[in-house]
Amino acid sequence: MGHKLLLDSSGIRNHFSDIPVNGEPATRSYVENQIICAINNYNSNLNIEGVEYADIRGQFPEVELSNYTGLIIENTEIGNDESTAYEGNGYFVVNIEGHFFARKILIYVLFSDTRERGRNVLFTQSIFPAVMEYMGRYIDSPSYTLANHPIYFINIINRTLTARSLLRRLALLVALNIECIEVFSENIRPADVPMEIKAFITAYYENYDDVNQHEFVTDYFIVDFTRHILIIKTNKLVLGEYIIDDGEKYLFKGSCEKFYWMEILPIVVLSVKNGYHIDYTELETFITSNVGNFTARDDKFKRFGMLLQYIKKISLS
Amino acid sequence: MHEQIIYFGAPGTGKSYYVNEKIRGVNRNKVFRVTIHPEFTYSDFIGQLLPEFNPTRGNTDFVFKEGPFTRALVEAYSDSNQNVYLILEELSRGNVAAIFGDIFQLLDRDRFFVSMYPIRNKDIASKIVQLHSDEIVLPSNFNIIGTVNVNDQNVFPMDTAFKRRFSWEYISTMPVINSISGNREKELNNPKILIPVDRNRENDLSTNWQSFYCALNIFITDKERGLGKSEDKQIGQFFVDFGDTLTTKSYSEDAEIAAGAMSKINSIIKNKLLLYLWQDVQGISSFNQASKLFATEIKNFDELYTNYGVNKVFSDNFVGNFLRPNIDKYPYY
Repeated sequence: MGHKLLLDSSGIRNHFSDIPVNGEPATRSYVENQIICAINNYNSNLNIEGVEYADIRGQFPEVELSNYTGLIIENTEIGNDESTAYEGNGYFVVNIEGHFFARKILIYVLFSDTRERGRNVLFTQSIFPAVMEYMGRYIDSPSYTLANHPIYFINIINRTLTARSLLRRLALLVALNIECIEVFSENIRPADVPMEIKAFITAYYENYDDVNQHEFVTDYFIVDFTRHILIIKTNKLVLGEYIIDDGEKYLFKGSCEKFYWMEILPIVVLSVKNGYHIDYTELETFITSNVGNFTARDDKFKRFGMLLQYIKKISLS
Repeated sequence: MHEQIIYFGAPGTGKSYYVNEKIRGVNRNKVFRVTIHPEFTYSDFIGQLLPEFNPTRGNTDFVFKEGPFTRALVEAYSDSNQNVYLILEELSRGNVAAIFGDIFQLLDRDRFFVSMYPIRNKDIASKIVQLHSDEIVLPSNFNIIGTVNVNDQNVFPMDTAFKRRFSWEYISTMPVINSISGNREKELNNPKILIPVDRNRENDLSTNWQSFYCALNIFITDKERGLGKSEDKQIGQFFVDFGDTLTTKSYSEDAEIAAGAMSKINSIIKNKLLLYLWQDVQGISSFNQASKLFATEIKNFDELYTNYGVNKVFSDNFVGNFLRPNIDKYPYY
């Protein structure tokens, strides 16, 4: 039995050469080794032995696949006649060149982009919509976690990040209980990200004076530190902001819905941890009053329903 | 959904049955069942370092071999979407404070049913690949169900701190109620019972198991005319399990079949109930008191065992004041 990093054949590996190392494009094996080292340093229990490229969807139909997807799996070679014993017990049995392997997902892996480009969507598009889909799928789970396995976010940008908005986004991932592993440069230390909500906002948001302000207001939420309430706002979920009208139905503009989720979800999780009451009235009203405005097939809108369900679940409403 | 519960009650009330009902439909790989006993230790429960020959290096290493607690925890961490059940049968037969050791700290759960206070345990953490430190908690999907027989002799006392970390659900001695209909399960373990009052079989009192054991229970706790003992001396419906076939045959209209069944039923009662009634219920100390379960003529267990089913063994007090008024209280039909 060993542990492997499984990457999709058509996914992130094709972009590894975009990572500059000493001014030259990185080789795939170099990047693979760096990733394995970073993961094993973070969690020595995993002791990943290597990287394998495969059709992830073919082997693990439950995985939300994107360009950023990977898995850490347990991999055990088994006899042909042992398949039945493993299947259905959390294992998937695959046949690779006549050898049978029982494989089990240990960790969901989501990679960053290989370069700091498209700053507005950086990191956000790595985790969404996968996280929303897992949340929706496991909404009836006895656990309150985002998914049924831990999620590792692996930053493979070989550059020190200075933009405050990006550092905040990394911190938001930590707040969301996604485990952040940085391969080439350490931009934040997860253990140092404050989990007390006022300290978190002081550290990562501008325009907050923790001495004079008893509440912190953004377009996405209001934190009332005195009454211990987080009020979810929907100021951005209106026509002309994140929503457009194509003449027949409403649509979300570009990746705007992901910005919203990124702003809301981690703060909700952090607030719940801090014992805050979550006021999701506006979000609920947005969903109920817009059901007819979006098409029934609009996955982005559907995911707002998943978000609301998850918020209700973790706030024990 | 979240369980940290102990089923407790008199012997034979079906505590293990309730546990099975609770885990009905759960994948067997998610259930870890342990029967606690006086020699059961922390090492048995959590795991221990054991020597293992390393063929590569040609030497012997000491490696941590997981106990049922650790195996259950590993399984819980492997998929948080699925409940895992650690079943601890006969919990009071072991020294729970010693068995749980540092794990005790994990039993305090927060509102998400996660341990409020993590502990550091390198051996356990090393087996959970999802953990990147040696800090462990019980996750929300980790359930613990215990059973405690309140009448166990020579049990270890449980301290209040341990007790209060569990919900305690009392399993009644009353006959089982169907959870859907709300009615008593009339035919469940309820064979006909014949109680001799003399040597003439035609005078036998005809009752049934549910009515009989309930009459015994009333007598055991009745402070005025009965033994006035505590409830933990009572017995449950399954203290003696007769089985469906024997139960049905005892009501057969075919006299031969019914007689054969009655013979087996008497034999089962003699071998499974009488010693408990003689030693634990009647007891030597109350033998000469006014309230006696057994007739005056029954001087020792030998006489009780020999006479059961063929002559009077129960006292007039029990028969007249407790059995007769309840003789068909819980009919089979």
